[in-house]
Amino acid sequence: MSAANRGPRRLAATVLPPTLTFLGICLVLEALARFGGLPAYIVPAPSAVIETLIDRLPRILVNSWYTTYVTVVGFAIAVVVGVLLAVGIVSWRPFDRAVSPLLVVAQVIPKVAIAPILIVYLGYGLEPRIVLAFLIAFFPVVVNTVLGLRSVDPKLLDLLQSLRATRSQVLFKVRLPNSLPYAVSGAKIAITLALIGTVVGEFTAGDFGLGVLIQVTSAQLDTATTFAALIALSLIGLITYWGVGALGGLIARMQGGRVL
Amino acid sequence: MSGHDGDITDAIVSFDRVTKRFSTRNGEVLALEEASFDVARGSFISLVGPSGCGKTTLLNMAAGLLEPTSGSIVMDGVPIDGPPRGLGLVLQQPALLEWRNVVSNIRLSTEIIGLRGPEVDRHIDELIEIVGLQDFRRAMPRELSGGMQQRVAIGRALAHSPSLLLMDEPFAALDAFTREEMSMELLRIWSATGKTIVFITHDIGEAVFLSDRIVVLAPRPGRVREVIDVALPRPREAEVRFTKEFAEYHHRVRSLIYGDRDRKEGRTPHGED
Repeated sequence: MSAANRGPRRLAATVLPPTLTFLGICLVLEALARFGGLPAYIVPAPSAVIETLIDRLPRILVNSWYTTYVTVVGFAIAVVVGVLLAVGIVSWRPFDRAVSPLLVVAQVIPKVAIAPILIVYLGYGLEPRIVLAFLIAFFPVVVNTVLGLRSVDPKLLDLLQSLRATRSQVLFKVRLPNSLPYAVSGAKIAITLALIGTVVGEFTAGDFGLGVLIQVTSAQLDTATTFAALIALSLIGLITYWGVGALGGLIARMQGGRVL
Repeated sequence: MSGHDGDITDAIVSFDRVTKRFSTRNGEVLALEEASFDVARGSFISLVGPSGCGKTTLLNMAAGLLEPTSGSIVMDGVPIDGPPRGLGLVLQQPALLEWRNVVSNIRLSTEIIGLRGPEVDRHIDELIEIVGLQDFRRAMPRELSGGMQQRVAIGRALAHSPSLLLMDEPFAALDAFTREEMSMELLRIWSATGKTIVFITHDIGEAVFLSDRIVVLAPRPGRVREVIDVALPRPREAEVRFTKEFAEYHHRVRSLIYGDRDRKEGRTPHGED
């Protein structure tokens, strides 16, 4: 068959099963809500959630904007700082020895536990949330980029040495380009973590954001709005993840179709 | 046959009693003991021997990547201290940059050294023709066969116009057919460029076919067993492999390498050394 024929068919094969499963779950929930005798604050009918989503759209959009903003900024800082740390770790032994163990410590501390301190330091604005998103997201970027910087054929390094290549030539011509696909896969993990960090931050201290909306509405037993916020949150998660994936695809194309 | 009989000015590289010891966990290992031979300018010389004979150690020392424990290596009249200028390296694996196309991979060595300008571009263009990749300039390494990738590696080693090419078993990872084809190609490249080539192999036939001179090495400790000058006429075609002279050279190198082992298996008293 022609490729044009195969494309939509493959798309259908990947999109249809999860869509049908999701619709099935919605149907069960709808039935439970209507005929199960469960109160709406426990299981809101999917139809009611959609209705709420439309009714409260401005409020949900405003909060979504804050959540997306904090997530993306935290993620961007995580990528920049993560790559810089990785370069430092790979290029300078003492830096590696001094910093790497601390990175692991920073990673194992549950980020929720740091949130209150961040508020003490940075107040109730966006800053503590951005820092939290960054803190939770940067680790996979560092680990993956270090791997990519190090996984250069030692024979190629010999060859460069035989040409008297400088350390910065090795870094910019070989190590960094080699690490790009690794950094991208680290960034894909990081973007999902940044969203988690953002919501944790919003739970702890926030004026706007979907995390705030979820806390307020669930306290009021306005479960339908909570669910509507959850839908918005999943959409943000998907869109930002796809965005990073698309960026990774662009980088792979720039590297001549190279993938890990 | 120690290589000190020749005219010194004629040699591009001279190895003079080069010894290399490595310290390992199990004590000192003598990788190479008092290796001496000359590489004549413009010649093709092969280092042949079983594993553990110090071939790669010799090559790494010539490339300035390793320092001899004692003895000296002189290139163009200057003792080697660190990687010398005017040296091209081809390794067993092509080790190309996956994200660069053929032209850009070949350019790497010129970029490292800092050569640019229209002359360099012209030279690279010529080189691409010489290594037979003119139809694959924009191809990425993963789109090329193993033999083609090795052609790129040879192009890269020649791009900065070195006078000496060091090749460490460059065809070892290729299949037998590609290997033979690449031998022919290498002879063609050698005569087109006039470089001096030092070539490591464990394939005796390949060594005899390609070389003006074969340095036969023995293992444990690595040492020069004999230096043989191959007087087969040039240019050499594939058919030369079926001549009596070729067979004689082949047999001579072979018996130098396997002689030890045959004797050992025959349990002669001289077996241990």
